[in-house]
Amino acid sequence: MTALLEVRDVRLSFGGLQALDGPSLDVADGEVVGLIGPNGAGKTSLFNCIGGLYRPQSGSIKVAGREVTGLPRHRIASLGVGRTFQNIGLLPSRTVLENVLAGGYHSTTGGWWATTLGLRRIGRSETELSARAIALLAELELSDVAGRMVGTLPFGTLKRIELARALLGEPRLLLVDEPANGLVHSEVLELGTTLRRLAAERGAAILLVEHHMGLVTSVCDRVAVLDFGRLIAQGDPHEVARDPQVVAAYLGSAA
Amino acid sequence: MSVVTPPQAARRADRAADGARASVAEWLRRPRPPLAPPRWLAILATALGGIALLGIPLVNPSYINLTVTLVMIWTVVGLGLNLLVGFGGQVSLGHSAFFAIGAYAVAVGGELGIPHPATLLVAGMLPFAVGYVIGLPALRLHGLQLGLVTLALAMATPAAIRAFEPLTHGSRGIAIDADPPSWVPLAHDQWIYYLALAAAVVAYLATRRLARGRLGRSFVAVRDAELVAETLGVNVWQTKTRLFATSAAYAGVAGGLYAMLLEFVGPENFNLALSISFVTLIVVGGLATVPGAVLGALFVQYVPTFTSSVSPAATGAAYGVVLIVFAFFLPFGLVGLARGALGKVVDRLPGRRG
Ligand SMILES: Nc1ncnc2c1ncn2[C@@H]1O[C@H](COP(=O)(O)OP(=O)(O)OP(=O)(O)O)[C@@H](O)[C@H]1O
Ligand SMILES: [Mg+2]
Repeated sequence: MTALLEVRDVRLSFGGLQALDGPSLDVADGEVVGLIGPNGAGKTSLFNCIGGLYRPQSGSIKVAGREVTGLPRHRIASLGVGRTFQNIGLLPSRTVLENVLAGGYHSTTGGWWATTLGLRRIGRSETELSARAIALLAELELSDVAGRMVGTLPFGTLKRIELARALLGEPRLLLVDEPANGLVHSEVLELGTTLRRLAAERGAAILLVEHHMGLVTSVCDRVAVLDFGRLIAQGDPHEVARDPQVVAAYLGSAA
Repeated sequence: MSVVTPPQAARRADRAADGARASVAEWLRRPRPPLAPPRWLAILATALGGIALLGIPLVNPSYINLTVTLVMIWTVVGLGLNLLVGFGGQVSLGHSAFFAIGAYAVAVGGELGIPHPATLLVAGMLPFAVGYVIGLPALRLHGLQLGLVTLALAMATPAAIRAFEPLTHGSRGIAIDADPPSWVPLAHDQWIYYLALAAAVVAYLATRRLARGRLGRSFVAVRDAELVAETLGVNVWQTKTRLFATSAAYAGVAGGLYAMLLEFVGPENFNLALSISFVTLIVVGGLATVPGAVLGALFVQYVPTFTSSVSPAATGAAYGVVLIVFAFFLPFGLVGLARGALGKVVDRLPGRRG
């Protein structure tokens, strides 16, 4: 069986800076894989290549067997890729619920004519989508803020709203960029449980970028380590955490 | 990414929203969800408004009907322009051009012997097509550039009308016979009033549907964060061109009604000032709100009448001042103000909602 996500020798540079230096990585259906590495290692850049925001100079990225490099960005969502952004990509002038509903765009239909004419099925699909969104908000403990404008909420909450939005699109592959950023310790543990449950219940594969090692080891089946754009280690989370090369990479970045 | 909300900013906004020390300016600038009246109130207001609108032309002299018809015509333009500018975030200073195309479609159609309510369809379709073709390249531009291109469009319109002399009769203009068909027992002003009312109601409902659901969310995503919109599966470029063409069609239908109302079109009806009043309309009413088009239309119809009784220069000055004041203090226009003032009261009213 081919993997859901297949990354092969992806190279991406910005001017003289090699952000991705040929990493290869597979993620199978339903698998939770951690992507770790020091600041500037290229983790977010890899997400952006998968989502079509950056176009690598060479290499290949396949989702469910389809090459995504060079595909128009808006087509990638319909391959089942959902993501959250490290720096938040929400619409500040909209309510939490509306932001989450926006995640249902590619999984629902309703063109210009059907919408203008107010066809029955548009109303039904909207009602059904709202119900799912409200359920998701409850699941992520966001019900209290559902009607609030996003611009007024704390960072940790925004990260969960983004997660809810991505989940509403029922992704097969969910890319999560530093979800624990802005959370206090107890919330991080809770988030870990939630992510595991979501992956199990929905059969979604998750690629998780995270600096919080406790979260990574408790949630991930497998971990891949990037350093200066190269994949330096891969495997069981606990073993990888002891790998001397990995330790050196993190120490090097701390020094 | 343009939507980055750093934690500090989020917290600051949070304190501003909840703290007692929020200044008046902050209060005015705050984005707010639409009013959520209980169902009985919505039905009552719609019924009373409907009766009033249907009754107005039967009991009023024709000059009153004329101004109310103009308000409805501006409303149609405003609804379409707000879809593009308010919801879609694409600036257009050139909608007087589409308004003119619609007006001339009715005028020329009339000369060719096409009965006039039918020419209204052409008045919508032609600007749609032209808007689509212009939108294809223009919407690759951003902000200021798009503003300049559409500004050029508005400035060129009177000259273009004169240049197409064989079709438009240049500066002489075209007289139009827009009397109602013989089976309609109405005077000219009443007939056009009802046509404009029908157009405004259809436009209002269509806009509300487009602005609310799945598509409405995609417009706002395109406006606020193109890359995020694409990540969610929105074809940004297609959305922009369709918005541009659709809003051009609204302006065209309104232009057609305008021609039928005045029973005359000439190049000077469609100058840059018209485009500027369209933009003023949506800013005053409230960008990215649907009812804003109505309030803005009332403003651009009645305020100049009032100011020009003070002095001929007062209208330009009033528009300038108003645009500045709204840009600084009321980014969501009169509708934003109404939401702030009435939101809590309306929320407390008893009754079933939705
Ligand atoms: N759009 C860009 N233009 C120029 N350089 C970029 C761009 N995006 C990323 N980079 C650079 O590429 C390198 C990898 O960045 P990336 O954001 O992928 O790192 P990261 O692993 O996500 O780091 P962090 O943990 O800090 O989020 C960095 O040196 C960064 O400065
Ligand atoms: Mg990053």
